[in-house]
Amino acid sequence: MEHSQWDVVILKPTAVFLSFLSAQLPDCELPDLQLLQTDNTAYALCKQDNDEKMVDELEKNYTAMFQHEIARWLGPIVYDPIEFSFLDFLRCFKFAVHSQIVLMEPSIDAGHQLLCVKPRSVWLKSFKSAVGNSTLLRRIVDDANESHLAENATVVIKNFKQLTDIKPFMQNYYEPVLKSELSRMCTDISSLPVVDDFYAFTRYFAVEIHSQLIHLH
Amino acid sequence: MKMYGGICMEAIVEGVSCITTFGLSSSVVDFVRQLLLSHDKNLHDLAKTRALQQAKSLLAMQEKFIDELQLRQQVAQIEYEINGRFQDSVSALSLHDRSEMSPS
Repeated sequence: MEHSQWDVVILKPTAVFLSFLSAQLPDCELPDLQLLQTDNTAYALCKQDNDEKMVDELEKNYTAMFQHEIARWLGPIVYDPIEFSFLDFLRCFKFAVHSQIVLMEPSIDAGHQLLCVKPRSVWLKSFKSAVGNSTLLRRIVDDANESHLAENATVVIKNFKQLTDIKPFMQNYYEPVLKSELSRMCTDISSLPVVDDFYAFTRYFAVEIHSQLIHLH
Repeated sequence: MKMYGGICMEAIVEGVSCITTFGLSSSVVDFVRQLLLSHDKNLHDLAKTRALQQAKSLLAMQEKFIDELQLRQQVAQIEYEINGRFQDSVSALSLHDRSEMSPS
Protein backbone atom coordinates (compact mmCIF):
# COMPACT_ATOMS: atom_id res chain seq x y z
CA MET A 1 0.00 0.00 0.00
CA GLU A 2 1.27 3.43 -0.93
CA HIS A 3 -0.07 6.98 -0.84
CA SER A 4 0.16 8.62 -4.21
CA GLN A 5 1.11 11.89 -5.87
CA TRP A 6 -1.97 11.83 -8.08
CA ASP A 7 -5.50 13.09 -7.94
CA VAL A 8 -8.43 10.99 -9.03
CA VAL A 9 -11.26 12.85 -10.75
CA ILE A 10 -14.61 11.09 -10.98
CA LEU A 11 -16.91 12.50 -13.66
CA LYS A 12 -20.65 12.35 -13.18
CA PRO A 13 -22.64 13.10 -16.36
CA THR A 14 -25.46 15.64 -15.91
CA ALA A 15 -28.77 15.95 -17.78
CA VAL A 16 -27.02 18.53 -19.98
CA PHE A 17 -24.73 15.78 -21.31
CA LEU A 18 -27.76 13.84 -22.51
CA SER A 19 -29.27 16.96 -24.12
CA PHE A 20 -25.89 17.77 -25.70
CA LEU A 21 -25.65 14.27 -27.23
CA SER A 22 -29.23 14.26 -28.48
CA ALA A 23 -28.68 17.67 -30.10
CA GLN A 24 -25.43 16.56 -31.73
CA LEU A 25 -26.59 13.06 -32.69
CA PRO A 26 -30.35 13.21 -33.28
CA ASP A 27 -30.44 9.77 -34.92
CA CYS A 28 -28.49 8.01 -32.19
CA GLU A 29 -30.15 5.91 -29.50
CA LEU A 30 -28.99 7.26 -26.15
CA PRO A 31 -28.93 5.60 -22.71
CA ASP A 32 -31.08 7.13 -19.98
CA LEU A 33 -29.60 9.45 -17.36
CA GLN A 34 -29.79 6.89 -14.56
CA LEU A 35 -27.61 4.49 -16.55
CA LEU A 36 -25.19 7.30 -17.46
CA GLN A 37 -24.76 8.12 -13.78
CA THR A 38 -24.01 4.53 -12.79
CA ASP A 39 -20.39 3.39 -12.47
CA ASN A 40 -18.90 6.78 -13.38
CA THR A 41 -15.48 6.85 -15.02
CA ALA A 42 -12.49 7.80 -12.86
CA TYR A 43 -9.46 9.60 -14.29
CA ALA A 44 -6.01 9.72 -12.70
CA LEU A 45 -4.32 13.11 -13.11
CA CYS A 46 -1.09 14.58 -11.73
CA LYS A 47 -1.56 16.10 -8.31
CA GLN A 48 -1.40 19.91 -8.35
CA ASP A 49 -0.30 22.41 -5.69
CA ASN A 50 -3.34 24.67 -5.88
CA ASP A 51 -6.78 25.09 -7.40
CA GLU A 52 -5.59 27.28 -10.30
CA LYS A 53 -3.15 24.59 -11.40
CA MET A 54 -5.81 21.93 -10.92
CA VAL A 55 -8.11 23.85 -13.28
CA ASP A 56 -5.17 24.06 -15.75
CA GLU A 57 -4.83 20.28 -15.51
CA LEU A 58 -8.54 19.77 -16.11
CA GLU A 59 -8.45 22.15 -19.06
CA LYS A 60 -5.47 20.27 -20.49
CA ASN A 61 -7.30 16.95 -20.27
CA TYR A 62 -10.96 17.78 -20.78
CA THR A 63 -10.94 16.83 -24.49
CA ALA A 64 -9.62 13.34 -23.72
CA MET A 65 -12.15 12.91 -20.90
CA PHE A 66 -15.08 14.17 -22.97
CA GLN A 67 -14.13 11.94 -25.92
CA HIS A 68 -13.76 8.95 -23.63
CA GLU A 69 -17.21 9.55 -22.11
CA ILE A 70 -18.83 9.79 -25.55
CA ALA A 71 -16.96 6.71 -26.76
CA ARG A 72 -17.83 4.80 -23.60
CA TRP A 73 -21.57 5.29 -24.06
CA LEU A 74 -21.92 5.49 -27.84
CA GLY A 75 -18.96 3.60 -29.27
CA PRO A 76 -15.55 4.81 -30.45
CA ILE A 77 -16.42 6.11 -33.92
CA VAL A 78 -19.19 8.61 -33.27
CA TYR A 79 -17.35 11.34 -31.40
CA ASP A 80 -15.25 12.56 -34.34
CA PRO A 81 -17.71 15.09 -35.74
CA ILE A 82 -18.71 16.44 -32.30
CA GLU A 83 -17.17 19.74 -31.27
CA PHE A 84 -17.19 20.91 -27.66
CA SER A 85 -15.62 23.57 -25.50
CA PHE A 86 -14.34 23.61 -21.91
CA LEU A 87 -17.62 25.29 -20.93
CA ASP A 88 -19.59 22.45 -22.57
CA PHE A 89 -17.49 19.98 -20.58
CA LEU A 90 -18.23 21.76 -17.30
CA ARG A 91 -21.94 21.88 -18.04
CA CYS A 92 -22.06 18.24 -19.08
CA PHE A 93 -20.17 16.82 -16.07
CA LYS A 94 -19.89 17.34 -12.35
CA PHE A 95 -16.48 16.35 -11.12
CA ALA A 96 -15.34 15.13 -7.75
CA VAL A 97 -11.65 15.29 -6.89
CA HIS A 98 -10.21 12.63 -4.59
CA SER A 99 -6.72 13.10 -3.24
CA GLN A 100 -6.98 10.48 -0.49
CA ILE A 101 -5.74 7.51 -2.50
CA VAL A 102 -4.84 4.03 -1.33
CA LEU A 103 -2.89 2.23 -4.04
CA MET A 104 -3.14 -1.55 -3.84
CA GLU A 105 -1.49 -2.43 -7.14
CA PRO A 106 2.30 -2.41 -7.81
CA SER A 107 2.03 0.98 -9.55
CA ILE A 108 -0.70 3.46 -10.39
CA ASP A 109 -0.41 2.59 -14.09
CA ALA A 110 -1.28 -1.01 -13.27
CA GLY A 111 -4.58 0.07 -11.67
CA HIS A 112 -7.62 -0.01 -13.94
CA GLN A 113 -10.42 -0.11 -11.40
CA LEU A 114 -11.27 1.78 -8.29
CA LEU A 115 -13.40 1.63 -5.15
CA CYS A 116 -14.66 4.75 -3.43
CA VAL A 117 -15.36 4.44 0.29
CA LYS A 118 -18.07 6.91 1.30
CA PRO A 119 -19.33 7.57 4.81
CA ARG A 120 -23.06 6.97 5.30
CA SER A 121 -25.35 9.41 7.14
CA VAL A 122 -25.27 7.15 10.22
CA TRP A 123 -21.56 7.96 10.48
CA LEU A 124 -22.40 11.65 10.77
CA LYS A 125 -24.48 10.97 13.89
CA SER A 126 -21.58 9.16 15.51
CA PHE A 127 -19.19 11.88 14.37
CA LYS A 128 -21.04 14.43 16.50
CA SER A 129 -19.49 12.96 19.60
CA ALA A 130 -16.06 13.97 18.26
CA VAL A 131 -16.90 17.65 17.83
CA GLY A 132 -17.29 18.35 21.53
CA ASN A 133 -19.85 20.66 23.15
CA SER A 134 -19.49 23.64 20.83
CA THR A 135 -22.98 24.71 19.71
CA LEU A 136 -21.60 26.12 16.46
CA LEU A 137 -19.76 22.92 15.51
CA ARG A 138 -22.76 20.80 16.42
CA ARG A 139 -25.01 22.98 14.27
CA ILE A 140 -22.63 22.68 11.31
CA VAL A 141 -22.50 18.90 11.64
CA ASP A 142 -26.32 18.81 12.00
CA ASP A 143 -26.69 20.72 8.73
CA ALA A 144 -24.17 18.60 6.83
CA ASN A 145 -25.41 15.91 4.47
CA GLU A 146 -23.95 12.78 2.87
CA SER A 147 -22.54 14.63 -0.14
CA HIS A 148 -20.57 16.96 2.18
CA LEU A 149 -19.19 13.92 3.96
CA ALA A 150 -18.33 12.09 0.76
CA GLU A 151 -16.24 14.90 -0.68
CA ASN A 152 -12.64 13.72 -1.09
CA ALA A 153 -13.62 10.29 0.22
CA THR A 154 -10.86 7.67 0.16
CA VAL A 155 -10.43 5.80 -3.12
CA VAL A 156 -8.78 2.39 -3.36
CA ILE A 157 -7.05 1.52 -6.62
CA LYS A 158 -7.34 -2.21 -7.09
CA ASN A 159 -8.22 -4.47 -10.02
CA PHE A 160 -10.88 -7.15 -9.70
CA LYS A 161 -11.53 -10.04 -12.04
CA GLN A 162 -15.16 -10.22 -10.98
CA LEU A 163 -17.54 -8.28 -8.75
CA THR A 164 -17.74 -11.11 -6.23
CA ASP A 165 -14.02 -10.56 -5.41
CA ILE A 166 -14.73 -7.15 -3.90
CA LYS A 167 -16.41 -8.21 -0.67
CA PRO A 168 -13.68 -10.69 0.41
CA PHE A 169 -11.07 -8.06 -0.46
CA MET A 170 -12.76 -5.44 1.70
CA GLN A 171 -13.15 -7.94 4.54
CA ASN A 172 -9.39 -8.46 4.50
CA TYR A 173 -8.32 -4.87 3.95
CA TYR A 174 -11.01 -2.69 5.51
CA GLU A 175 -8.65 -1.62 8.33
CA PRO A 176 -6.02 0.28 6.27
CA VAL A 177 -8.79 1.76 4.11
CA LEU A 178 -10.67 2.85 7.22
CA LYS A 179 -7.51 4.33 8.69
CA SER A 180 -7.00 6.42 5.57
CA GLU A 181 -10.63 7.54 5.55
CA LEU A 182 -10.61 8.50 9.24
CA SER A 183 -7.31 10.34 8.97
CA ARG A 184 -8.86 12.82 6.53
CA MET A 185 -11.56 13.62 9.09
CA CYS A 186 -9.54 13.84 12.22
CA THR A 187 -5.87 14.01 13.17
CA ASP A 188 -6.60 12.11 16.37
CA ILE A 189 -8.40 8.95 15.25
CA SER A 190 -8.88 7.80 18.83
CA SER A 191 -11.49 10.52 19.38
CA LEU A 192 -13.69 9.14 16.59
CA PRO A 193 -16.33 6.40 16.97
CA VAL A 194 -14.85 2.93 17.14
CA VAL A 195 -15.19 0.72 14.06
CA ASP A 196 -13.86 -2.58 15.31
CA ASP A 197 -15.15 -5.07 12.77
CA PHE A 198 -16.20 -5.40 9.13
CA TYR A 199 -19.88 -5.34 10.07
CA ALA A 200 -19.45 -1.94 11.73
CA PHE A 201 -17.44 -0.77 8.73
CA THR A 202 -20.26 -1.65 6.30
CA ARG A 203 -22.76 0.01 8.62
CA TYR A 204 -20.86 3.29 8.56
CA PHE A 205 -19.34 3.24 5.04
CA ALA A 206 -20.63 2.44 1.55
CA VAL A 207 -18.29 1.10 -1.13
CA GLU A 208 -18.89 2.44 -4.65
CA ILE A 209 -17.40 0.61 -7.64
CA HIS A 210 -15.82 2.35 -10.62
CA SER A 211 -14.89 -0.20 -13.25
CA GLN A 212 -12.84 2.24 -15.37
CA LEU A 213 -9.80 4.15 -14.20
CA ILE A 214 -8.24 6.07 -17.10
CA HIS A 215 -4.69 7.38 -16.79
CA LEU A 216 -4.05 10.91 -18.03
CA HIS A 217 -0.89 11.69 -16.08
CA MET B 1 -21.17 36.04 -0.47
CA LYS B 2 -22.24 32.69 0.99
CA MET B 3 -24.25 33.02 4.22
CA TYR B 4 -24.82 30.54 6.99
CA GLY B 5 -27.73 31.34 9.34
CA GLY B 6 -27.39 35.03 8.53
CA ILE B 7 -23.64 35.07 9.16
CA CYS B 8 -20.94 35.32 6.49
CA MET B 9 -19.49 31.85 5.73
CA GLU B 10 -15.88 33.05 5.91
CA ALA B 11 -16.53 34.42 9.41
CA ILE B 12 -17.97 31.06 10.47
CA VAL B 13 -14.89 29.27 9.14
CA GLU B 14 -12.67 31.68 11.08
CA GLY B 15 -14.86 31.08 14.15
CA VAL B 16 -14.49 27.33 13.80
CA SER B 17 -10.72 27.72 13.53
CA CYS B 18 -10.67 29.87 16.70
CA ILE B 19 -12.85 27.45 18.68
CA THR B 20 -10.68 24.55 17.66
CA THR B 21 -7.48 26.48 18.34
CA PHE B 22 -8.58 26.73 21.95
CA GLY B 23 -8.58 22.99 22.19
CA LEU B 24 -12.21 21.96 22.02
CA SER B 25 -11.98 19.89 18.87
CA SER B 26 -8.70 20.78 17.21
CA SER B 27 -8.39 17.40 15.52
CA VAL B 28 -11.54 17.80 13.40
CA VAL B 29 -10.98 21.36 12.18
CA ASP B 30 -10.16 20.50 8.55
CA PHE B 31 -13.05 18.18 8.21
CA VAL B 32 -15.55 20.62 9.72
CA ARG B 33 -14.17 23.26 7.37
CA GLN B 34 -14.87 20.84 4.51
CA LEU B 35 -18.46 20.47 5.72
CA LEU B 36 -18.82 24.25 5.44
CA LEU B 37 -16.98 24.98 2.23
CA SER B 38 -17.15 22.51 -0.64
CA HIS B 39 -13.75 22.29 -2.33
CA ASP B 40 -15.24 20.55 -5.39
CA LYS B 41 -17.80 23.33 -5.79
CA ASN B 42 -15.11 26.00 -5.49
CA LEU B 43 -13.01 24.23 -8.11
CA HIS B 44 -16.01 23.85 -10.40
CA ASP B 45 -16.89 27.55 -9.99
CA LEU B 46 -13.29 28.55 -10.72
CA ALA B 47 -13.20 26.39 -13.87
CA LYS B 48 -16.58 27.74 -15.00
CA THR B 49 -15.45 31.35 -14.53
CA ARG B 50 -12.40 30.65 -16.68
CA ALA B 51 -14.42 28.83 -19.36
CA LEU B 52 -16.95 31.69 -19.46
CA GLN B 53 -14.13 34.22 -19.93
CA GLN B 54 -12.77 32.11 -22.81
CA ALA B 55 -16.24 31.88 -24.38
CA LYS B 56 -16.67 35.65 -23.95
CA SER B 57 -13.37 36.44 -25.70
CA LEU B 58 -14.20 33.95 -28.48
CA LEU B 59 -17.57 35.65 -28.92
CA ALA B 60 -15.87 39.06 -29.03
CA MET B 61 -13.51 37.75 -31.75
CA GLN B 62 -16.44 36.35 -33.72
CA GLU B 63 -18.31 39.66 -33.40
CA LYS B 64 -15.22 41.52 -34.61
CA PHE B 65 -14.96 39.15 -37.57
CA ILE B 66 -18.67 39.63 -38.39
CA ASP B 67 -18.25 43.43 -38.14
CA GLU B 68 -15.31 43.29 -40.55
CA LEU B 69 -17.29 41.09 -42.92
CA GLN B 70 -20.26 43.47 -42.81
CA LEU B 71 -17.96 46.44 -43.44
CA ARG B 72 -16.43 44.69 -46.48
CA GLN B 73 -19.93 43.88 -47.73
CA GLN B 74 -20.94 47.54 -47.37
CA VAL B 75 -17.83 48.70 -49.24
CA ALA B 76 -18.53 46.18 -52.02
CA GLN B 77 -22.15 47.37 -52.18
CA ILE B 78 -21.05 51.02 -52.47
CA GLU B 79 -18.52 50.11 -55.16
CA TYR B 80 -21.22 48.22 -57.04
CA GLU B 81 -23.60 51.19 -56.79
CA ILE B 82 -20.93 53.62 -58.00
CA ASN B 83 -20.04 51.33 -60.88
CA GLY B 84 -23.76 50.99 -61.70
CA ARG B 85 -24.29 54.75 -61.61
CA PHE B 86 -21.45 55.37 -64.01
CA GLN B 87 -22.19 52.31 -66.15
CA ASP B 88 -23.49 54.45 -69.05
CA SER B 89 -20.38 56.57 -69.00
CA VAL B 90 -18.20 53.52 -68.82
CA SER B 91 -20.05 51.91 -71.73
CA ALA B 92 -19.80 55.11 -73.71
CA LEU B 93 -16.11 55.34 -72.99
CA SER B 94 -15.52 51.77 -74.04
CA LEU B 95 -17.54 52.33 -77.24
CA HIS B 96 -15.50 55.42 -77.87
CA ASP B 97 -12.29 53.47 -77.31
CA ARG B 98 -13.42 50.72 -79.64
CA SER B 99 -14.36 53.18 -82.37
CA GLU B 100 -10.96 54.84 -82.04
CA MET B 101 -9.18 51.53 -82.29
CA SER B 102 -11.23 50.15 -85.21
CA PRO B 103 -9.71 50.69 -88.68
CA SER B 104 -11.62 53.29 -90.70
